[in-house]
Amino acid sequence: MDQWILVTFPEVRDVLVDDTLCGTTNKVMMVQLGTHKITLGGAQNYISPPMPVTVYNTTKQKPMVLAFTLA
Amino acid sequence: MKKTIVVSALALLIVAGCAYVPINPPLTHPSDLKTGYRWATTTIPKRSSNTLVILTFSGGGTRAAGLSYGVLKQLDATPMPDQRKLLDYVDVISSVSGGSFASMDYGMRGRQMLGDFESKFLQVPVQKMLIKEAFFNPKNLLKLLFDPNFHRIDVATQVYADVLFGTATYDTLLQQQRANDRPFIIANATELEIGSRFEWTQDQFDPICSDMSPIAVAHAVAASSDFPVALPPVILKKYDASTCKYQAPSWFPIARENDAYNNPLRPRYATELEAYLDPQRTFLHTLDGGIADNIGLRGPLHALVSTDAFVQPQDEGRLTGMTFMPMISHAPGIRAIDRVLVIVVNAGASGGVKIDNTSREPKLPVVLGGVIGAPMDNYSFDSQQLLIQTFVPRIGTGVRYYPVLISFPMLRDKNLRDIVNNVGTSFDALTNEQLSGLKQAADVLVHQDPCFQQFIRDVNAQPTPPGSPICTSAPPLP
Repeated sequence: MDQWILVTFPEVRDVLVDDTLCGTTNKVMMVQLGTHKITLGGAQNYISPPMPVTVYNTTKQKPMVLAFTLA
Repeated sequence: MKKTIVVSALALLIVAGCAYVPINPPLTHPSDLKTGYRWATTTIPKRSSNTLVILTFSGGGTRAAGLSYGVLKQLDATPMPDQRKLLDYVDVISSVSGGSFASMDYGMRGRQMLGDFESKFLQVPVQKMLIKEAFFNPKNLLKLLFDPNFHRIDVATQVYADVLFGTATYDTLLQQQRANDRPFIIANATELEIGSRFEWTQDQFDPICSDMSPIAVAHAVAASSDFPVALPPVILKKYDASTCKYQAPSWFPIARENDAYNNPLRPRYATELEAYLDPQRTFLHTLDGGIADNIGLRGPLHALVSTDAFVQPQDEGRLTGMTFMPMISHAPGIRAIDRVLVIVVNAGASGGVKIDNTSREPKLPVVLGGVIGAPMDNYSFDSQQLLIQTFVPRIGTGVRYYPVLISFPMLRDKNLRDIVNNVGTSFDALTNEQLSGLKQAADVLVHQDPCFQQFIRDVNAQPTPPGSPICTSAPPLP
């Protein structure tokens, strides 16, 4: 079953799900149901929510919001 | 003199037979997604088309090969708005057993195959050739008796090479793919002990640290169509993971640790990878792909719903194993997909009443046929249902999905249905009537499918007529 996440960040960055490029920050993207390590591409100057994170019970309209911040 | 030659030949065979020589060499350099026959090295992820076209070809001997060939011909007769043919848009062909003869020959020779596949394969008595070469060719008989590296499946491989594939290797296949922008061909077999699909791609060979580039494609087709009991398994050497410094992908420990109750599909996939990495496992025994998935759909289905693969992504996540998720999600710098057409060519046949017209005890082959065939058919049906159930929740998510199911029960013409259903599961030559029936069935089944019709309307920007079915639900049965 598809799940949906929204990675928020002050900059436009690549979003990697388990090291696979799957989308960009601040845009909803589809992931597989389950537990994933979400990271950003480019400079590692960010603070991430605790990882890995289990993504479940989401829709495209109500994605899981993962707030990344600048370090 | 003759006696001396025979004795010398026997001695040579015995000496040569002392050493086991695997058909698959080790991968001596660290596994790298930029080399070998795999999704990442083909031109497919870099194509500009926003339409992803996936074909799956089932098992079923020459019946399956004939139906698959018929579908390829139909796609070649389907124009697209840019004057190319729909066949040119095919990205992936995932095939099993009899279907692998058509897919691999198309991968190797492209359109040339459409001109002579009938005379080179479909109307050739391959089964008789197999029997003749295994039991009546003295050279093969001697080798079978004295060379432990030579088995009946190797006779089959030789025959398939003679008939269709020659000495072409996976390196040749990759060169053909890149030079002509042909589809990515996945010949599926089954790993007997693990019970999993075994895809003949370098992504699958990486965990066993083996280089598939120099392996003849005829071996892959032989493994994909390796009928259990009648033929022995194709045996592959599994090399230690240190041979190629194989690195397990990052999803593997995460899914293994966390997802048993969140999404059992992921730990199951992790368990398969774990089995391939098990140091106690030093060989793989591969048999007909139909045992694990007789319609070749599970691999593409996995790639439609998951980014998990047996290889660790490289280049900031841009080079990956086969996954369609980033393309569907419009990940930056990745080929963006707006339409997904999946054509499942299932040549499964129902042969009518054979034992239920009598109270006599059925013969063992008939019983075994039912015991093996019924679960396979049911699993195939479930796979098709899973495809539809995957697509239905994606309605309105921005990408359109078209599941096209090609199978004999969809034929409305009983006479045609009887002709194709009665083609046996073997590599016997097709009669003219059978070949004509299979080609006609492909024509009818492709064009009557409501999702195929909708796909053609959509790519040509034609309006959908009132009452037209939405292509995210199953086409109605006749």
